Amino acid sequence: MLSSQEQFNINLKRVVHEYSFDTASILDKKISRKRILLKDILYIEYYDRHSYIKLTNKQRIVTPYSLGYWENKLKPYSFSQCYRSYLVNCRFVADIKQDYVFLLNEEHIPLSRGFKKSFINSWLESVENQL
Amino acid sequence: MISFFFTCWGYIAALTLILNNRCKLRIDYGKSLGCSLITAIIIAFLIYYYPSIYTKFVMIFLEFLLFKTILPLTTFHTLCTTLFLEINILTSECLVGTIFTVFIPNHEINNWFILFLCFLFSAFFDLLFSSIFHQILNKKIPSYSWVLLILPFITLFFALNITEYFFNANSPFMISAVLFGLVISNFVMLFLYIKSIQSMKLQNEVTLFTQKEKLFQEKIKMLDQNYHLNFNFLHELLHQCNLLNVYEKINDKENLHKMIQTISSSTSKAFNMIYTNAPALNAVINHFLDDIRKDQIDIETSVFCDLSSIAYTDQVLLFYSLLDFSIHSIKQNQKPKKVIHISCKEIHSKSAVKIEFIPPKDPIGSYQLPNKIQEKYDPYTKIDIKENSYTILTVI
Repeated sequence: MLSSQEQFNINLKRVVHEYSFDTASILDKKISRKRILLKDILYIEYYDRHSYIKLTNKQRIVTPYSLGYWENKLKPYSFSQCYRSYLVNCRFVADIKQDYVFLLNEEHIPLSRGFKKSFINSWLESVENQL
Repeated sequence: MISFFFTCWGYIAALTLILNNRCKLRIDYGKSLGCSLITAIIIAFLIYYYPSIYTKFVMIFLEFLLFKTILPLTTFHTLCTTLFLEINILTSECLVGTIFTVFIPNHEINNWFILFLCFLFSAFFDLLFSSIFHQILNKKIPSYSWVLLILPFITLFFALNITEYFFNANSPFMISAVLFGLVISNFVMLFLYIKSIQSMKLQNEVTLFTQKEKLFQEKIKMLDQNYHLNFNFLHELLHQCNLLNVYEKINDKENLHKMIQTISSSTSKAFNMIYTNAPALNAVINHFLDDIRKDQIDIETSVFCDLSSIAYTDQVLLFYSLLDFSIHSIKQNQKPKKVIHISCKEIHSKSAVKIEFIPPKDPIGSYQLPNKIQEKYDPYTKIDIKENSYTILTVI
């Protein structure tokens, strides 16, 4: 039975955050004619001068942008870099063990030493936002 | 060739039927009859025209395939059955040979009578095997159970080198006895193995029951604590109600109003503390109840999971360390409203526990998770210190 104003504010903040994450999307004709919801993106991989958006429905979308571009754009939405060529949606991280990030779709992505601390912090922040 | 066919089919059919009846395997009779007849014909043909050790290997493989097809068993159990069939044939025929050597030395061999005797002994061994086999069937056996097959394999290897199992009809008694002893030792080993497995299982069950009993004791203790808390609360409420009646009778509206406010506040606090949805958290809050009341601290909880991934004792340890640190810190706070907010949620099979409170102006030490929790769960912790909030997040 929570009735205090503080608790209400905390819950409201959480609901607003959830709502913004659920509705935020990308609409770019260079990538796709359809709107891509951020909650459907598992991770973005960069290789061969292209970045590839991996979606939860196993679809891969090619984009002409760099990983830095995506990082600037998606950082406020729980996306964080765990490896030189990977930008992961922290919402889909199931576990972090040693040098790997385990995703909910049972894929695992390498976690480099340089990005480890910042990635874990972003993941914990995303967990905190879900609480 | 016909006698080979009958012998082979007879042994297979007898073993299949006895296993089916004793172990309730529910085999398809039509399929079993057809498959066993075809296998027996192939084996009889191979043994009659190409009698060699390699043919025996092919024969064992065919028998394995046959049992795998007609019996609903695992590979390990099928291999056990195939090995037994071969050892059974060896035992029965050796036994008949030994009987003839010892009791009827100068006998005239009647093939059908020998065959009848062999089937008789075979059926006896089948019954013995099925009663032991029944005990290991449908039970989780340890992975090292394959070791069990070493002795049967050695026996079988010995048997493969004998062209005629009745050879000992003309051999000395000692050889027959050794051969028979080797076969019997297979059964003895199997029996001892099952007994040791049963004993291990019983030991595990005893340990499990002891742990369950400990858990029940802890739960009883917790229920007892809850009962006392509820009793004290209701007792206090009864007093307050009596006072309410008194104030109402003497028409003291000021005190009446104050008392209603007090009851409302204490009921709200008690509800939050008693029903946190996490038994471990309840127990820890009850432990700190005196401090919470003395310093007028509000504990607000939002528990959305049962924290099943963390052992109950570890949950108590975790909540104890978190509450101990936050109560100690919040005591130094001069603000009239002291609130500690605890939230727990399961996020993708991980348990997240967050505690949040307003820190005092003076700096407080940094929170450290208990070593036991660190070592056992290797959790991730994030401590966020802001001017008006101190947050500790632990993901286990």
